[in-house]
Amino acid sequence: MSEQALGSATALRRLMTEYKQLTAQGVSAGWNVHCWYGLFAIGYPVTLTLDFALAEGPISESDFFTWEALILGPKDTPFEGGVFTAKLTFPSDYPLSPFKMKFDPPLFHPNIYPDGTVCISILHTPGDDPTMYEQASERWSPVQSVEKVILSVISMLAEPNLESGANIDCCKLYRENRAEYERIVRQSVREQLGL
Amino acid sequence: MQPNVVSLSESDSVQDPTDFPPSSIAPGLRDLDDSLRCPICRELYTAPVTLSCGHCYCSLCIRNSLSSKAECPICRQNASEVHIRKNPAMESVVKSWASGRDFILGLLKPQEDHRTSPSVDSQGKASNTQPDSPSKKRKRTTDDTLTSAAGERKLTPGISKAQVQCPMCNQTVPERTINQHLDSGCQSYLSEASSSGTRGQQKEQWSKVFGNSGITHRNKDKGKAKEKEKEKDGDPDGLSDVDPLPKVSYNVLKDKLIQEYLTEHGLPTNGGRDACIARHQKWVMLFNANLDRSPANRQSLDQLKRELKKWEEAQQTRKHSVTDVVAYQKEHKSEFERLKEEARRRIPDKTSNSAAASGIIVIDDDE
Repeated sequence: MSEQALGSATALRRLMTEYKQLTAQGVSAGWNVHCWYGLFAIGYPVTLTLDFALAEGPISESDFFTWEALILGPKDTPFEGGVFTAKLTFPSDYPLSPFKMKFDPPLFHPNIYPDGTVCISILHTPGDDPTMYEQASERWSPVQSVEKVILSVISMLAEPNLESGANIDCCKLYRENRAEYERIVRQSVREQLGL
Repeated sequence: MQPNVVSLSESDSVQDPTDFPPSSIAPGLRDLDDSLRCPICRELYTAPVTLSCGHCYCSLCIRNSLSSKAECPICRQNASEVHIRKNPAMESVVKSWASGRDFILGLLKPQEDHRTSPSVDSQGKASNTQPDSPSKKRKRTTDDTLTSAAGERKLTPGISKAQVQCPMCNQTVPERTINQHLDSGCQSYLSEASSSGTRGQQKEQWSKVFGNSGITHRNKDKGKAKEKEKEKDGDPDGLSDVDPLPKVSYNVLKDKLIQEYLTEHGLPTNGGRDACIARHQKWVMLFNANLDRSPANRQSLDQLKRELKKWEEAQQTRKHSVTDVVAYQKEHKSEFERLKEEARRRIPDKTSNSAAASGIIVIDDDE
């Protein structure tokens, strides 16, 4: 972790700006951003109490390179109603390199590796292409932001991309037996919520 | 401008467009602030440059970005350092904006308190446009100018009703129309200014941003030409004396020659070949980016060297954490053991390896 703490000043400033913008925009845009130290949630307009406890205490700089995001399952999908925690890990040369996103606990989804790591083209640098299906145009570039990525992930939850699957079993199930896939997802959502 | 090291207590000093109220209250300001920021570092442009596609970045930001991928980060058109052109106009806009920003924010504060009384109707009109979501932001800029054309006429009289005397014809003219008045050779007055509509207002807003260069315009025919001349006089192009450093293909060079390159600029030559190359590369980048500033804003070579040093130290400390291999192994023994155990149990698993390499502790989820 200490390596992350020494991330360059540029990366840190950019992260702080993004964070500030996320929290401020959350209010004005009618989004629901739930925020306390390094922790924020974006969801579709579902009522969620606004809670800005940023002043709750200083966080060390290292905290700024790992964020936690709470994502609400999009409506009209089997993920509806769920609240998912994802950990965002920023490299020290952010925004030149993309951050990593990992759901914890993992989500059962065709584009999420069994360990929870999200496989989405917007988080891949033009160099690496684990699935060979991605267009260079949809890759990471320094002008992307946490907000845009989270939005992409939310739409990915609703519409899996079967061409570049990360969880092969899930892909197969999704293609062959959609009802069963949805049942499993719904069940896991319920389990996560402790119902 | 800002010191590079920030702690959380300074996080209030992070400036971003949301410092300004949404456009329903202060039309255009948030978007203006947003468009004067580099899309890579999200700060006000430092030494702004444009690529051949027209997109604008801080010189250093885009040089860094191009070194990892030779394309424009926004439109992904192929680009390289030779396509970089300075944008002195943007630089002076940003400079003026940076100096006036706090002032404007200060002006806005009392206005926000008052907003119940005078501007109610114009605000009500504007507020049926939805508040910002960033994707809509760009599109709405055009809407703003349209609605604000209607809204502003109600708003501005309250803000600046100041009358000034025209230096040419001694007529008393509202301050906000003085530039147009002068541009037109003292022919247009209040009534004409208000009928000139959105375009006139936009122009006038920009001239406000640029400072008050408009006041010196005299001839109505030469107005435009003069403006350009003035620009030149105001900040003459800095190309004149220093040339940017050329790129070096290090592969074909001997160590000694690389070291010579470094000593030429008074840089240290310690470290191995790779360190020297990295140092020189970064130096070329810093040096050339500095040239993209207008001469008045340039940093001294000493400042650049200090920056290079800071960069190198950050680089070293990052590597340093693994140099003491034995201690590192001891410290992380249990983790290594656990990982080995895990690896034996499973078929070699790429993801857990990479996670371990990047220092993330993998939380066991198979219990």
